[in-house]
Amino acid sequence: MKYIGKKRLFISLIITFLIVGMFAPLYGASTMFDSIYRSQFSNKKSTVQLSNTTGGGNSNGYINVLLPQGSYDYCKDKENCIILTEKISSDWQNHKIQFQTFGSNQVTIRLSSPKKENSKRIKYPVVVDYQNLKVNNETIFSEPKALWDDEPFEYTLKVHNGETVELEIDIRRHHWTFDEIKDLQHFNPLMLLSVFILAFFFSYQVVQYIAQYKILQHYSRIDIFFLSVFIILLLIPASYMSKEEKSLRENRMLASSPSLFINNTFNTNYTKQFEDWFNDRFRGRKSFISFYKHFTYFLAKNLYSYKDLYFNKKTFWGFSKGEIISRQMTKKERLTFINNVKRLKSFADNYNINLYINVVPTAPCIYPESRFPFSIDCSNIDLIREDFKSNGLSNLLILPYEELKGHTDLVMHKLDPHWSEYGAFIGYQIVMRKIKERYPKLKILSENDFKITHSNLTRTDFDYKPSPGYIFNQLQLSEKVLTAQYKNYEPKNVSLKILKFEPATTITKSKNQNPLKVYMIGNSYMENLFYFMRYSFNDVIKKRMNPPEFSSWEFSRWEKDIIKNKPDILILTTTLSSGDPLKGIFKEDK
Amino acid sequence: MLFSSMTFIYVFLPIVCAIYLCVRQGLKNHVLLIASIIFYAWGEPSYLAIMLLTILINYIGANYISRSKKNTHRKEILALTIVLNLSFLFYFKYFNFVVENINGLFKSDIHFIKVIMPIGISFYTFQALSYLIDVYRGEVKVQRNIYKLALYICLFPQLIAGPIVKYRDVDEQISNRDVDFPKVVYGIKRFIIGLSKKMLLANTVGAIADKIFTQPVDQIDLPLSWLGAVSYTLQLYYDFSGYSDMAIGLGYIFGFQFLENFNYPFISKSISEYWRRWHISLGSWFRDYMFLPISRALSLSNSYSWLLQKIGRKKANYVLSFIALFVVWFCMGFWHGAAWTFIVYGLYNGFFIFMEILSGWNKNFKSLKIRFFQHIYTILVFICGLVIFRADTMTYACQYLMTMFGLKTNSVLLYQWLYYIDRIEVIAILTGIICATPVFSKMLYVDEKHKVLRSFINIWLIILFILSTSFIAASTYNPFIYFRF
Repeated sequence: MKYIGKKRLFISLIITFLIVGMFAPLYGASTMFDSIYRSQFSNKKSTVQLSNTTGGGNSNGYINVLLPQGSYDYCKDKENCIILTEKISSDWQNHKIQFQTFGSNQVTIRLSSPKKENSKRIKYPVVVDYQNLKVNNETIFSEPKALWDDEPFEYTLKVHNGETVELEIDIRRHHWTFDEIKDLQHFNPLMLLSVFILAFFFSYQVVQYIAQYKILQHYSRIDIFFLSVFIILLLIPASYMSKEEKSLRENRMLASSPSLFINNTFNTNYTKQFEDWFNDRFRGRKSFISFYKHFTYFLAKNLYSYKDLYFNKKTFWGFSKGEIISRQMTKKERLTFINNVKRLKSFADNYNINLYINVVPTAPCIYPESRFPFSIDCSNIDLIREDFKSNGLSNLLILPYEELKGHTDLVMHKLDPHWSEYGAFIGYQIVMRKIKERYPKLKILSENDFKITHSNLTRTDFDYKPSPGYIFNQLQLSEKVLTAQYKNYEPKNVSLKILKFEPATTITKSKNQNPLKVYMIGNSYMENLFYFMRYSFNDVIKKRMNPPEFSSWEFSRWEKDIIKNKPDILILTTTLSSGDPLKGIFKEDK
Repeated sequence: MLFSSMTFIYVFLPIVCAIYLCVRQGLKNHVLLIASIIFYAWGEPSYLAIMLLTILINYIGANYISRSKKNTHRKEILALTIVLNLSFLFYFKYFNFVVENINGLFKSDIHFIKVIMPIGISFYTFQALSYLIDVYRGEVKVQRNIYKLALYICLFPQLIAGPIVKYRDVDEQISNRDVDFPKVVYGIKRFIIGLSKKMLLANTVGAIADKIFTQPVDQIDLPLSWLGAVSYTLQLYYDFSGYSDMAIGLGYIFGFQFLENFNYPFISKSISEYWRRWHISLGSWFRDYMFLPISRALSLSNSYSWLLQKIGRKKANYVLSFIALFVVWFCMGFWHGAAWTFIVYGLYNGFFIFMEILSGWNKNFKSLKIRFFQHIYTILVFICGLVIFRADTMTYACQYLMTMFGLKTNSVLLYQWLYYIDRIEVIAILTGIICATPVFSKMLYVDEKHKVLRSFINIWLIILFILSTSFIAASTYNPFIYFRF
C-alpha cells in the first residue's frame, strides 16, 4: 500500500466507480442504478397507463374519463376501448374513478403497465404496482400486485344501461428488487469485473499523471482540481444521448440521429442535423434547462419570461406574446371575413342548415390588466359587430364579450389562453339562447344540472382533463403559482355515448329533450363549449380545425361530411385575434 | 460552429483537445489545421473553398515577393495579391451594397447577386493581408510550409470573430510552442470568462436592446432610448470581448499567446484612447497597414511640401492627419459592414479623433474635474456612435439620437417598462457596468499563496461554466408553440 499511496488509491477508486457506472450497458446494467433510484427514491412523475377498459359487443361500455395530450393513439383501431392514463409516482396514490355505462353489457377492467414499445426511452419497462382494487365498494384484491404489460389483471362485470360504476385503486411505480433488475438486465458479472479492472488501471494512470503535476512540477493543487472538474463537466453531456422520441414538455418530436450519406450521396445537411440531434439529446439537458428556468424565475421580480412566454409573478397571470392583439383588422381582412361568412351562409342555406359564427374573445379583452406590461387593443370586437350588422348577418354572430366581463369567478384560465369551464358555460348559454330564437322549445342546461366544485385547475382542451395550463407546462412553473380557483362542472344525471374520440373528430350521442343534430367546427376554444353542448343535443359532431397536422381552416375538409350528416345546426367557433378569424377557409383566400 | 454552442463545447472541443494533447509535437499543427478546417466547414462547407483559395493565393504571392529581386516586380505582385484578396471580400460583402447605391444614384437596374457572406471572411482576409505586407516589408520571413501558413490563416480560435492576429506575432509560435499546465488552466479560465460574458451578460442585455431597437422610434421615449443605447453598448462589448476571451483562452489551451483585443475601453478619457482599448487588433491593423503608410506617403508627396510652404508645418500636419484619418476611418467603418450607417459610424469616430488632436482634449490632464468630464465625454460619444452602428438606416439613427437628447418628444409607448427590464436585466446591466471597469482585472493572476482566494475564484468559474451551459441548453429548448387558436 505504501508504494502506491493511499490518497491516490482512494481517488483512483472513486474514478473507477464513476467509469464503471458510465459503462453499465457493457455488463448489462444500463439503467440498473437509474432504475433503482427511480423506483425507490424518485418521486418524479411519469405518465403510464392505469387501466384498460373494454366494452364488449356492439353496445358499448365506456368510461367517461379522458386522455391527456400525447396519448391519442393508446386505443387506436380498437372499438369501444378507452384507456385511462394517470401519472404515477413512487408512493402509493389512491385513485377513484366513476363512470356511467351506456347500454347493458359487460365492462372489462384491465390493469396493466405501459406497453414496452410505448416507452422506448426507458430501457427497463415501467411496471405498475396495484393494490386495494374496489369495484362498487367490493374489494377485488387488496394485496400489492406488480402487473406487467403482458401479465395484466382483468376483471369483468356486468352492467346495466346508465349504471354508475365506482372504481377505486392504489397505484405506484413498481419498486424493483435487486434480483428482479439483475434478471431483467441480463447482468454479466464477468464483464463487470473486466470493466472494473480496466477502469481501475486507467483511473490509476490518470491519477498518477495528475499527481506528477503536483509532485514533480509543483503545480497548484487548486488548479489541478479545477482542471479535473472542468474535464469531467466537459465529458458529461456527450456521455449519453437520450433515446426519447418525443419531448412532451416541448410538444415536439426530438431530432433523430443523422446519416452522413443518404442514398449513397453525402448529406449536405449533416452538420445542422447533427447539432439538432445533439442539442435535443445530450445528457443532462432537462436538468440544465430546468436549472435555467428556476434560476431565471428566482431572479425575475415581476415578469418571468422565456421565449415570448410570460408569467407575472405579482398577478399570477401567464400568457404568450402571440395572444396579444396588437393591431386592428385591415379593411381587406374584414371584407374577406364577411365574404367568407356569406359563402358559409350560402352553403348552409342550400342544405337547410342553421349557421352560427361563434367568436370567442381572448383573455386579454376580458382581463386587460392580465397582460401587463402589454397594451391591449380590442377594437376588433366592435368592428366585427358593425360589419355583421351592416351586412345583415347579425343573426349569425355570437360574440360573448360583455357577458363574460365582470364575474367574480374566473371566466378565463390564468395560465392558458382558453376560457375556463365557467367562461365556456356562460358562452354555452349565450349560444343556446341564440339557437332558441330559431328553436323555441330548446332546453338549456342550467347550473342546477351540474355538480359545481372549485379547484385550482380547469379544463382547457379536448381531453377535458383539469389542467394547470399551457403556459404552466411550457414555463415549467411550480405548483405554488396555481393560486386561482375555478368553477368545475360535472354533469348530474346525464347519459352520454361517445362514438368517436380523436383529436380531429369527436362524435357523441345522448338522450335528452333536444332532438337536433349539431355539427361544430372550430379551434381549441370550441372544446369547452362542446363539453356542454354534447349534453344538450342528441347528436353532436365536433371537428377540430387545428389538430397538430392541420394549421388552418379549410372548409373543404368537412364539406362532404356535413352534407352526409345533414345537421340541423352548424356552429363555427373561432377566436378574435388580429387578422381574419376564418383566414384560409376557402381556397382562394389563402 | 459557434463557441457558445453545445456542439462546440461538449463535442468538438473535448475531441480536438484530447487528440491534440495525445499526438506527438510534429503532428500538433496538423491536428489543429484539420480541426480548423472542420470547424470552418461545419457551418457552410461550400465556402471552405474561398478560404483555401485565399491561403493558396497568399502562399504563392508571398513566395513570389520574397524571391523577386526587383522592387517594382515585388510591388506588382503585392498589389495583385492584395486585389485578389480584397476581391473576394468585395464580392461577398460589398457587391450588393455598391449595386444598390449605383441603382439608386443612376436609376439603373443592375441585378443583385444571391450570396451569403462566408463566416469570418473579413477577419481572415485581413490576417492574410498582414502576412503579405509584412513579407513585402521584410518584417517577417516568408513561410515556405503551406500548412503552417494555412494554420495561421484558418486557426479556429480566432477564425470567425478575431482577434486579427498579425503573422509576426505568431510566426514563432506556429513552428515552436509549448503546451503546459499553467497555460492550459489559464486558457480554460479565459474561455469560461468569455463564455460567461457572452451567455450571461451579452445575451441578457442584448435582449433589452433588441426589444427597443426593433420598435419604431415614435414608440420610444427619452429614458427608453438611453436604456436601449446603454444596453446595446454593453451587449456589443460583452459579446465581442467575450468572443475574444474565448479565442485567447483557446489559443492558450493549444499553446498560442494571442495579443489582447480589449483593455477596459470604458475607462478611456478620449475617443483616441478608446480605440486603443477597443478591438485593439483591428485598430492596430489599420494603424500599421493603412494610417502609417498613408501618412508616410502623404508626407513624402509634393503636395505636402507645397502645404508646408503655404501654411506652415503645424497646419500642414493637421491637413495630413485629417486626410489620413478620413481614409482610415472610412475604411474602418466600411470594414464593419456594407451599409452607410457603418461608414458614418467610422467617420463619426474619425471626426472626434481629429477634433481631439486639434483641441488637445486627448491629453492627460491633472485636474480631476477635467478627467471626469473626459470620461463622460468619451462614453457619451461612443454610446451615440453605437446607436448609428446598431440602426438599420441613418434616418432611424438620427431620430433615435434626437429622442435620446429630448429633441423628439411625441412618442407613444406601446409597452410598459416592465416589458424591457426586470430584476434580472437590472442585475445584468449593473454587473456589466462593474465588470467593464478593471475591478476584477487581476482575478486570474492571484498569487498561489492566496489559496482561499484562488479556490474561491476557481469555484466561481466552475459555477459560471455550469450557469453558462444551462443558458446554452435553454436555448435548445424549442417548444412547439401550438397556440391552438
